[in-house]
Amino acid sequence: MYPATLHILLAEDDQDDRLFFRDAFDEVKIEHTLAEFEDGIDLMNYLHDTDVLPHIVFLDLNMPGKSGLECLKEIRSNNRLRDLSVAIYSTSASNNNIEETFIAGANVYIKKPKDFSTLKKIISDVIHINWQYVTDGLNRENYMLSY
Amino acid sequence: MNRTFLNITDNTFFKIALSFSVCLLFFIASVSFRQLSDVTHAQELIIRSRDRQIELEKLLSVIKDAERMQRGYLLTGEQSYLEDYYNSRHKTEKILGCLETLVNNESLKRDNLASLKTHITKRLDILDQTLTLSKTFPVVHPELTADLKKGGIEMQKIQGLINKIVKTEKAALHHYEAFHKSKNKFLPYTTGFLVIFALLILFVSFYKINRDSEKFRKMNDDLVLVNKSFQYAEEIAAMGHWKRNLKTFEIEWSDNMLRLLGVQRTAAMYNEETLVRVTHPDDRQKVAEAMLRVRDFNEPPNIIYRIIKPNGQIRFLKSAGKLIHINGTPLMLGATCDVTEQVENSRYIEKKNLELEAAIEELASFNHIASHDLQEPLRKIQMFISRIAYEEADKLSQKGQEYFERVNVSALRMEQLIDDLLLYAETNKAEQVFETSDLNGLLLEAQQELKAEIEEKQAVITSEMLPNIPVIPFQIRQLFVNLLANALKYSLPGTVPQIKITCQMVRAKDIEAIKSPVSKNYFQISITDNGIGFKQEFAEKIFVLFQRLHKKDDYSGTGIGLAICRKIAENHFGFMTATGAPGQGASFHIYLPK
Repeated sequence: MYPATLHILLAEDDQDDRLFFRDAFDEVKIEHTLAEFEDGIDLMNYLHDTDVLPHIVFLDLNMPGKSGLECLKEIRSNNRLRDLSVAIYSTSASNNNIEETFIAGANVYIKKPKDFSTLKKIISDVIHINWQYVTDGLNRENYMLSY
Repeated sequence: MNRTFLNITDNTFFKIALSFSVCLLFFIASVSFRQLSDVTHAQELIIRSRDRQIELEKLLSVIKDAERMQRGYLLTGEQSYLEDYYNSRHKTEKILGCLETLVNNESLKRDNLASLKTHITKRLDILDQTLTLSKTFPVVHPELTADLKKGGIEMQKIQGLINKIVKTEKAALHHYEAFHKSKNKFLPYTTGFLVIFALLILFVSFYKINRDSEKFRKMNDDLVLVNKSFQYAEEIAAMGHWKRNLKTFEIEWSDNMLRLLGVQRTAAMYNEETLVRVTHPDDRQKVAEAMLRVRDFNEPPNIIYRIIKPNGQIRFLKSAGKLIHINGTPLMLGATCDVTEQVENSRYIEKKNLELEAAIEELASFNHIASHDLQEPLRKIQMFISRIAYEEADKLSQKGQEYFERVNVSALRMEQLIDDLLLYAETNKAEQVFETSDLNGLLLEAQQELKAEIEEKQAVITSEMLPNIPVIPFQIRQLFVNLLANALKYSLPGTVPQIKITCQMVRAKDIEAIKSPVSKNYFQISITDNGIGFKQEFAEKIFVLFQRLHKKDDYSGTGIGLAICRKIAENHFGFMTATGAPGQGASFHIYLPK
């Protein structure tokens, strides 16, 4: 049930984080394409224009222009995009952020790890999640991914 | 103010005493009067008795005179003897007439008098007859002698009768005199008693009146004093009072009220217009409406309004009233005070409060954002460290690896600092929800969180029964975590850590550290360990943010943990203290209001 090539989008304003993310994905060794965006505006423009929808969108919360939460809300309110799998990828693990994004309809919440091997494990876990299950049975226990 | 009014029982007592005295006085007076009239009566009886005796004697002497004169004439034939003789009958009649008025039913009875009268008439008749006989017969004529003899017998009868009457009269007189004497005997006493009693009542009344008037004078003085001090108090408090008769709608203002309003006392000023006139235009309607409600619905006012004083100064006044009834007349009593300072103060405080809230908010968010933003680069540093450690470590020299390890330790320490700072910022946030929680459960959760450390050090933790009280649950759990972690961290090397959690109720006044208690009783929860302890002189210092007693290399720590603990205790309106001795363990006491 996994697609031959996984299409991944990452909206992240920090260059280093994008590097870590790219490197980690490369090391996970799965057929994928990774499109990176420096802010929410670029991401949304791309999503509105593209014909090929991604499998997973990773959203940083704290971005200039359009924040991750705004992007999430826009995706969920758009008929064409509303079924996308969205993973929040943020430094913060504050209850506020977790609550808000959960209510706005994000599928998982990932707290950015401080360790590269952990990042690899997280990415590996996320792409192996049974997304159908996560989307159907939204529940708080499974929502937060922390290591 | 109560004592300024006469006691009602006092008054009734006075009335009863007065009426009793009056009755007694009347009684004594009537007794005296009776005695006096008895004495007078007795005197009268005596006088009459004497009169009767005198009259009787007079009567006897008249007859005897008549007899003597007749004899004189009979013996001498001297016509001069008869000059007065013919008056005798007339005289006896006069005396008898007089005796007639002196008749009583005791000594001189009417029939006695009548028989006396008959005998006397008869005697006089005999005398006349003898006289007539003497003119026709010689002196020793048997008929004349017989007549004289007859006259002698009659005379004896009269004498006997009179003697008898006089005798009874004497007895009666004696009786009257005894009676008079007896009456006379009591009269001075009763009169004396009357006088003494009257004097007594007079004195008592005088004393009472004097005392009452003294009391009234004192009360009056007190009242004047109270009034003066009230006025003075009003003046100091910048207050005035007023009253409004709700029947006549008359308004009366005290001097201080006028001073507050800045108006002069004039005859025509007692109306609603006066107040409305000095009121600030924006508040005029409010004041007028309040006064209308007082007048029409007897509704006590409670308003704050502005007035403009003659010098243009704007003052805030607060008026409040109370409806009372005096002798059935409804009165609205009111007090007005100048609250300008309070209003300005409360506005100032309000403003400062808002500023303070904003400052706290700003500080908290600054703290939060600063720590949060610090996390970002730190996390990347750690990420790079982890990548170098995995991928590039073998390319470093021995020294490089050593330095690299130092970098890693510093990064870890910084991470811990930031985490703790965030926690501290979180603890500082004002809006926290209190829930009644079982502290035993929260302690258990804390132990669970520290399971690894507890097992590693094989610590023995014992706890007493903790109460069920309203707390901010996650903060209390954090408090337990911090204190347990502290006890575990500062354990004596080579000794099994023993941590005891005890709880008891203490009275606020028994605890020196409680400066301004919010409750009478506090729960004292103590966490005692057998660790390295500290010098008692540092007992306060350990709660200060970033204060550490040990070198970083000996014991890891940020110096925030205990500051957080104290903050949590303060968030629960309690506080925290510590006691300890080097090498003998430490005790941390949390006081939470009951």
